[in-house]
Amino acid sequence: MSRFLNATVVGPMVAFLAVLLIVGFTTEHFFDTGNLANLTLQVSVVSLVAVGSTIVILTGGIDLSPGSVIALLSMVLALLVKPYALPLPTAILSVLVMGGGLGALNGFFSAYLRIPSFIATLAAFSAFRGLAFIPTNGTPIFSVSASLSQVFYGTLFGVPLPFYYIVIAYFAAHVFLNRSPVGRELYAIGGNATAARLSGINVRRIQCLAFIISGVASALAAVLFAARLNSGSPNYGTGMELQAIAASVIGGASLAGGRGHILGTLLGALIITVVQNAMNLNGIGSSLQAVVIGTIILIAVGIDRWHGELTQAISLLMSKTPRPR
Amino acid sequence: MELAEAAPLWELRDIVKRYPGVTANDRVSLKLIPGVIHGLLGENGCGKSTLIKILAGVEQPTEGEIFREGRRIRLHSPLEARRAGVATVFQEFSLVPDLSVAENIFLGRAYTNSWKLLDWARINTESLRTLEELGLASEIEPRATVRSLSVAQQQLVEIAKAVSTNARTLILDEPTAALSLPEIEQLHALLRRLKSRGHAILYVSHRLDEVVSLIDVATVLKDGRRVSAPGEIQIAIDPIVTAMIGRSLAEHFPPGAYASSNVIFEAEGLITRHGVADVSFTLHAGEILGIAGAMGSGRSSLLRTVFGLELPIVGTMRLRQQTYAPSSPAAAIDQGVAFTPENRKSDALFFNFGGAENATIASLEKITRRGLLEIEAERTSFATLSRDLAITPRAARGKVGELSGGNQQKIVLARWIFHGADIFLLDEPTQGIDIGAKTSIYRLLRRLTREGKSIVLVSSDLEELLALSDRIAVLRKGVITEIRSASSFDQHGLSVAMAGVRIAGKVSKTVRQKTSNLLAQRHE
Repeated sequence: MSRFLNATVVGPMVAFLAVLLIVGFTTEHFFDTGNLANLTLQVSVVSLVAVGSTIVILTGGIDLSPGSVIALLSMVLALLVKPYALPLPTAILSVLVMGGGLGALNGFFSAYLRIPSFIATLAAFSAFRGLAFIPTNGTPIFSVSASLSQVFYGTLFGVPLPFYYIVIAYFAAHVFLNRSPVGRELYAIGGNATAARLSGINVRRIQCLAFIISGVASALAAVLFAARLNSGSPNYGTGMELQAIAASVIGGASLAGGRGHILGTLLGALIITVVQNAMNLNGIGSSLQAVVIGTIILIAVGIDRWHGELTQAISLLMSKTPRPR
Repeated sequence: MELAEAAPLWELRDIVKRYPGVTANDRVSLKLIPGVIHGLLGENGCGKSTLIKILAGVEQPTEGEIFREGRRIRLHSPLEARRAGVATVFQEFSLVPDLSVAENIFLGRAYTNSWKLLDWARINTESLRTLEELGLASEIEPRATVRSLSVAQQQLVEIAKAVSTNARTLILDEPTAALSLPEIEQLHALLRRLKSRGHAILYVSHRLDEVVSLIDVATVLKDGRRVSAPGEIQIAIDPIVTAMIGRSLAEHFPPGAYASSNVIFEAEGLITRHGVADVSFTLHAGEILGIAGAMGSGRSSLLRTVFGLELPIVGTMRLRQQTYAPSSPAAAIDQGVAFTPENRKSDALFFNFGGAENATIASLEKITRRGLLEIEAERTSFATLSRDLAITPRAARGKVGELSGGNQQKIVLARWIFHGADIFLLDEPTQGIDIGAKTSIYRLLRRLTREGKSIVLVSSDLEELLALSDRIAVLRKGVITEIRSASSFDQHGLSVAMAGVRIAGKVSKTVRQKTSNLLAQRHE
């Protein structure tokens, strides 16, 4: 595995350990088994969405549609299972395929029709949620199916199922990004799209693929979301795209593309969730939580940006003690 | 000229500039005297840029002192340097393309009327006066937007802007990189006028042939140190080159001709949307075909068409006796055609990657087993390429942004050698890289032709073009006007052929004079 990619995970790892340390000292019951299981459930949706967000960000694009994809597909899943009485596995599979289709739509508009991805997915952000309201006029569909709940609340060897989803998704994404030729080309496009084209890479196809992956990841998150509440609603997933982007960025991904690591994203998602969880345990209201998350984003990106100045300042402080070379 | 007696306007004394791990300037001293054009020569990476950044207030020297008219001065910022009368024209222009010439000249210090609104009449008349003083008024209109001007004209505006601030010291950093011969002449004429008006000029260049007739004094840098005698007046090319690279010109271009009679590629009657008007040529296995053409002659469009980036409107191409009509770079690459673009930073390199990842990106299938990249295979492949092309070992560790231009260019070439390309389309492959790396790239090109690979070489460096090419095609206004063996051209003849008949008289006089000077000096 190439070292140049792994170096980027060190920062988020240190940040995550620091957060754990602070939370461990300030928050009672944080390390209780019950809370850790709860934490896994909490982190699962955002971390799945963030896999897709990161892959799109690595190509130099951005995907604002996941929240709306979650709303639309949670509704579709509820409809397929309840009024249409499709078997649950078939329904879930259809929803995942549809997620890929919605992602392909984003990819088609941004990569092939050259509409900047920010705009193309902003349009999708609006349109997909609008579509989610149409079938039931905005009424949520409750009590979809008992087996759907199990998708989220089930356990295997005493560990909640979402834990396995996260591990599988991140392992797959990690291998894809760091060991597959297409993953390498994805980094290349984010680094320099012109050079990528001149190196024979089919830039548009891979940009489109990134959106398809993001769509499937959002569809997975939609299934979890629906399973968690055993319902579908056009109001689900609000703000999820921004949390996922925040996880990528806190994890070290550069919005300019080409730089970032999927394991950093997982750490980013964990940092956000742990901080939220700890604040919940300490009875801090959601308004203040939002402010804290905003501050974390600024600091995380700031540390990345001020890297040069910070190392300079540190070496200045250290310069009194000469370093052996 | 009695230079020693004139009082220097600026004196840099024993300037040392250290960056972490590298000493860019090592006790460099230099004097700038009013009415003297001082050439600062040396290859890229020799410390020229650092030195001018120090005088322009962009960087602070680690050690050493700066004197202005005999008094010690510190230049903490570009603004302080400007206040002290130093105007710098960097390679990247600081003009705002969508503003007019006049607005650009007075940007940041525009005249206003009593309502604090821009006084357009005054701005325009003052700009016109400045342009007239410099003898540019006939060519550049103050109200024209900068975007509408040629690169050369933009450069003249940049100089006009600098001069209009009453700067007495003018620094020019590689001002001719993008200019044609007549444009260079025009620039030099302007500099001579400024010189006669008592400006002190520091002219930074690595193209010696150009500056011999212009500069009065030369300071040559190599590896951050001054290698020329202080206040050297006599300028002879060969000793300078020898000083710069540590070996003489004769060894610079490796000999050898490996062109066979096998035609590997042919183009017939090509016309493109972007400047190729009628081009037919053949390329043989093992041949270096030089394309001599000024900017805008269609040379880039020609390479881009062969590489599948542009579709010809009319015309056919054949590769290995088969019809060849690539619809994309990927299609061209699949058939063994490689292209290294002129601007390697913006169009060829991945700065988020290290050397190995940059070299393998066009041939990932070669390091893929069962669908997965073999990082170990990639490492060893790159180690072999590095040894082969004398790429610095640092390329295997850090990212390519930390490497010199020469190493970067070798990595771009390594990409196509690793791919196993047969036809190399090289657009200015040695632009802006140091002479040592140039020599090793020349050797590499020779070796490729010995292995039967073919090269189409576009270069503005005519000496390089003449020395490397088997045949040269002269491209002018999108048409190949002649194509014959390189040995039947000389530099003068080639310049005239490139420029065309229209200005041949004007060019030939200066060029002939310069060329004969050059030759005389070289044979001394």
